[in-house]
Amino acid sequence: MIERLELRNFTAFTGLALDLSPKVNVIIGENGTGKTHLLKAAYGLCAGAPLFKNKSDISGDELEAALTAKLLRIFMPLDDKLGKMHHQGSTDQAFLSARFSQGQKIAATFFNNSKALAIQDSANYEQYQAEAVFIPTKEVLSFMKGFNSLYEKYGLSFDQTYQDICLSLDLPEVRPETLHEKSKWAMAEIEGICGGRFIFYGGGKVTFKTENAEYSANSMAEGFRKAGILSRLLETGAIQPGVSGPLFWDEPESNLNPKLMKLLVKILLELSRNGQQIMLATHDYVLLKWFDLLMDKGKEDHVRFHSLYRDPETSEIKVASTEDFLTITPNPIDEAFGFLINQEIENDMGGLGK
Amino acid sequence: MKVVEADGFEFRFTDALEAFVFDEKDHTKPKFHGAPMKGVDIVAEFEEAYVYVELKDYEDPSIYDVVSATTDDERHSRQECFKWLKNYLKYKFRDSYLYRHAEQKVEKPIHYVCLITFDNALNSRMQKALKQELPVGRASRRWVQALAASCHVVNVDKWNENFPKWPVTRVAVAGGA
Repeated sequence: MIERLELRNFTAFTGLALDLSPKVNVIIGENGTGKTHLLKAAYGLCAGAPLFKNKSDISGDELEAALTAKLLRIFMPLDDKLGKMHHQGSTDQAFLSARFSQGQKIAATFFNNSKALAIQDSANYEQYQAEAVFIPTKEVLSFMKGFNSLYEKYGLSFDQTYQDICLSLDLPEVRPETLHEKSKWAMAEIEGICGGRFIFYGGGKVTFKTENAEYSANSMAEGFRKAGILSRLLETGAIQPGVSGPLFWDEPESNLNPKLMKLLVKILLELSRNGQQIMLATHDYVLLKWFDLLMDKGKEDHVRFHSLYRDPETSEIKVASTEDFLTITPNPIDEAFGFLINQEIENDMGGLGK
Repeated sequence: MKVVEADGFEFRFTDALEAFVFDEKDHTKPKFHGAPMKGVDIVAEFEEAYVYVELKDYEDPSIYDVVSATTDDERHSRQECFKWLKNYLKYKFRDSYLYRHAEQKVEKPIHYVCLITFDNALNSRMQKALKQELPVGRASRRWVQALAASCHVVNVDKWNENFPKWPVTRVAVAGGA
């Protein structure tokens, strides 16, 4: 798991350092404050794991090339140029680094005209082999048939997190004896709420099966398809508490009904109790509030809220982190409700008190 | 300027004609409440309106332990607490209105503002529920006047943002948490 993440002069960030919870991290912030970039940068820095898992003797050049390719494919900068991810106006190099829980480290730099990342520090990075999972905003079950082949062949406008998730979903199921107890529990809960389960036939073909019938995955509610993604990732062991790398999830709330939202938070907390690090980006009050309400300190739950905001004086993106829901500041999600309160007072009380 | 202190908060009503602790329990004070009725914490009078203020500081755990709940059971009681609080705020307003009616002090529109240390989202929910049940406006065709012209539920930040002429600050309570 990632303990600390540092980004300097990279995309929206001039200088940002985050100390992450080993359990649940919730990133909030207004549009344009870099929530998705933060998740993607962290995910990109985890890209060494699949490389070293398959091959132990990777040269520095190979690692630089692999991490460069990963960043380019997940960020899709203009003209496919690494330099386009350098923070506009900064004179220093872009710098990205992650420190993992066993002391492994990766730090890399690049500049406006760089063709590839320059690794500055990769202490024990080869030992970090826990693969991360990134669930992007859009659900993928509705279009994953043939998606991977198309992605390999054509320059689609999907970033690589979509290909990665499709590949993870198409992995075979892990053996039942390997499946974590909590994964089984979560899969059963999701099946209970959806009234059936998604069946993966390989090659991206997915259907939804109830006790009596089988349907096209596309005919199912989008919220169910999102829950189905989580269930499948548990089934394939792509998410395996205590074994897999961090789970990054960008806006899990989209199209989820309130029942699913509560279940999702229950599952994420349970996975985190069993060693799964989680990083979410959200705009949703209900999701945020469920973490606050369902968090059980008796079970040693730990949720850290990271609020990204633009400093009013310097316009730089900064972060404020807290474990206390009520003290999240600034909190644009709650402030949206605050604006409604202001308007209502103005409508009803006019100039009174002003 | 009328300065009123109640329940650990100090209000400075810079443009009030009058402002006082409405549920005054000290019988030696001129504004002693003295009736077997509930009462809001503060009533302030302005040229064009009355404002009733009710305070609930949820950061004081000695009053509401439910906020610092650590188990599921305790949390479930939060919902009950929400309903309880809504009714509490509702009946406080109604009894205060009756009391003021007896004082012949209901001739101006009355705004009810509850200062509750929740987040904005929860305060919005409380305001919506309270507005329906208070009720705000003329609730029946038979009514010729409203009990409450409006009701609002705000935290300290929102209070100060919306009512800059009535700034509120916390005051240290001797022996308090």
